[in-house]
Amino acid sequence: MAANVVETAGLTKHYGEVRAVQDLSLEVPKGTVFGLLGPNGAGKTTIIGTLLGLIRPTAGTIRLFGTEINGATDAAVRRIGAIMETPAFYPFMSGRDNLRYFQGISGTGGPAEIDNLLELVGLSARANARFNTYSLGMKHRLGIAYALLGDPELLLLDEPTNGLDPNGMAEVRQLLKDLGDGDRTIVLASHLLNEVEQVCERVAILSKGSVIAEGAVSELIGRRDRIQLSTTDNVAAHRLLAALDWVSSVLATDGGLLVDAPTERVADISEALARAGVYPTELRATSTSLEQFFLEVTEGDRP
Amino acid sequence: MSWVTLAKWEWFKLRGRRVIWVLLALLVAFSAVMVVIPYGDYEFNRGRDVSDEVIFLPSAPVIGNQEVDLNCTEFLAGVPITEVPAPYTLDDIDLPGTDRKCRQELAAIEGRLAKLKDGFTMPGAAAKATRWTGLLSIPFLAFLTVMVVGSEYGWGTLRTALMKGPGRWRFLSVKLALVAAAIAVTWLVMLAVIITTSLVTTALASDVGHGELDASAYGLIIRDIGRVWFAGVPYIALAALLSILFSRFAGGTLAASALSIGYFFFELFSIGRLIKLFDGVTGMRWFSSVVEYDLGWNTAAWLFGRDGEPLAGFNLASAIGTAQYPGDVHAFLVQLFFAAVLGGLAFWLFHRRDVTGPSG
Repeated sequence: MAANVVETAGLTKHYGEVRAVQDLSLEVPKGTVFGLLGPNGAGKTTIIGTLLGLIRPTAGTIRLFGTEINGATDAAVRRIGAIMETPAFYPFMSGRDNLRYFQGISGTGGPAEIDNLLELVGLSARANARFNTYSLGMKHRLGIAYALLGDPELLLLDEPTNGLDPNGMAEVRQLLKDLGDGDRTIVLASHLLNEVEQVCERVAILSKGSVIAEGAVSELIGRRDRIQLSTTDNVAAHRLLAALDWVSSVLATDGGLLVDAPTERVADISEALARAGVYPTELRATSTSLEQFFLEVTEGDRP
Repeated sequence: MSWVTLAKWEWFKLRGRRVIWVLLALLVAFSAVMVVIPYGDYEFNRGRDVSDEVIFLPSAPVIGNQEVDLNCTEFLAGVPITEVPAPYTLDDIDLPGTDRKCRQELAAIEGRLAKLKDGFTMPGAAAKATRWTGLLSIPFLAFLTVMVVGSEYGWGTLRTALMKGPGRWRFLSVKLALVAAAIAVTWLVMLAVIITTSLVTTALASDVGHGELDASAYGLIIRDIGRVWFAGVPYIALAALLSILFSRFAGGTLAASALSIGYFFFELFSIGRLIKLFDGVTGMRWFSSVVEYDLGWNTAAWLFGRDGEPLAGFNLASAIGTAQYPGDVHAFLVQLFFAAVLGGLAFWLFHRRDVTGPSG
């Protein structure tokens, strides 16, 4: 089993009366692309801030790369690349000089690395322009280059596609997939469900600072696999299926039924209906999207 | 990551800020102007005919005007007065009185010229320019500190920098050390400008020479510069503390600059007057005891006084409004105390406080 790169136990952060993060226990195995999914205000940025030592936790412990962090995060932080919200750089310096400065204070890499990163994020042509002349998309791309300085083992990315146009989002997501292919661990905090679904292998869904669901993305979606069917007599089929003990629920939908049951029991459903003289005209297993799942589990959070 | 490497990269960043160079240029220009002004004044006064300044005294008033223009230089050189304005006659001249008055006037002019000469020749030029620029250097230091520390919060770059692991203590220490070093270097540049300007102006004023320029004269100049530099240290700490304190507010940088600079000038120009105002007022005697331990008052004593006495021949020292300052040792210790306390608070707050995004 892969070692955990990030582990938190009972991590809590309160801002006065506001509980930004509450008793959070997370484990992010090495080499995983891990999603922190939650609506705005769920505590994603606070969690990343505490991992980076920028925000002091009220309680709980953090282990990075197997070592417990007690406020002294500097050595661990040098092995991390991070973006938090909209990247902030020195406005009077060029993109290249900003990267040179941050590379310099991290004590890693050299000029070739900066050229390569600028090439990777498509900023070579504007590398010598002042940062305050950059568009939002260019700022984000510079942020990604910044995060990749020193070839970090762990990437903590907080809303890395915020404000990007659809093409930019697609490029960044592809880049994240490529970056996550090797041993590198990525923690992606986002409120964009399709982003997390496309990029991440595992996900923790946050609500009001607590994890309300966690697991592999495929598992979380699989938990809500359903069977869509239409029959010659939907009313009879509804009554019949609702009485089966392995069926959780049956919902009448427009022109059919949505049965909450394991998808491997499609044949059992067909048999039970046939025995009662009701015949399926359509029968198929369907997966809910992560978005549907997210909306269900965070239903109580919405006003 | 060594401190030196971090300092090197801080300098890499700092040198790109145009406003710092503009301020430094202003300070350097100001130090040159502080030498050029007495030179110009000297040239203007030296060329003046003394007859503009003095008079002859008639032995008895004939009309209301008892003083009439006279060329004292010529009169004292023995050139007889051959003409006096009507209705006076040559017999009306009070020769001993006129002689005495002419000598007084000439002595006053010579004294003034000597003072002006001292203002643009070495070592006096350096001493005087240092005092004046000392007054400006503290607001400059405070502003520089706020720019170096507060801007990181305003732009949100503090978070970006700390995410690369330089460490909070080290990051702030290097910044403040860089400010202190930058001002020390600035002082040396200013000294070079003062010396050069003094050499040029002294050469232009062909009839004057420099004062005695031995090791002790230069020692005094260096000591004065050291005093001004040390006076800035508590204000670096104060400006850093205010920058961190106001970091969560939009406009926090502006507020920190305004407060640290305003605090300096307010205390500098109000405490001496308040001491005078409350002197002898029953129930207000505590005021002078309390301000003995005030930062601004002790900074004024350190910059504009020597061993408790206002600097002789330095107009600002009297403009501050006091006849007595705290002594040098007392002022040094009070400034050291404030530097330690304010600096300690700044570091503690910088270390403790959560770092969030841009504050505007």
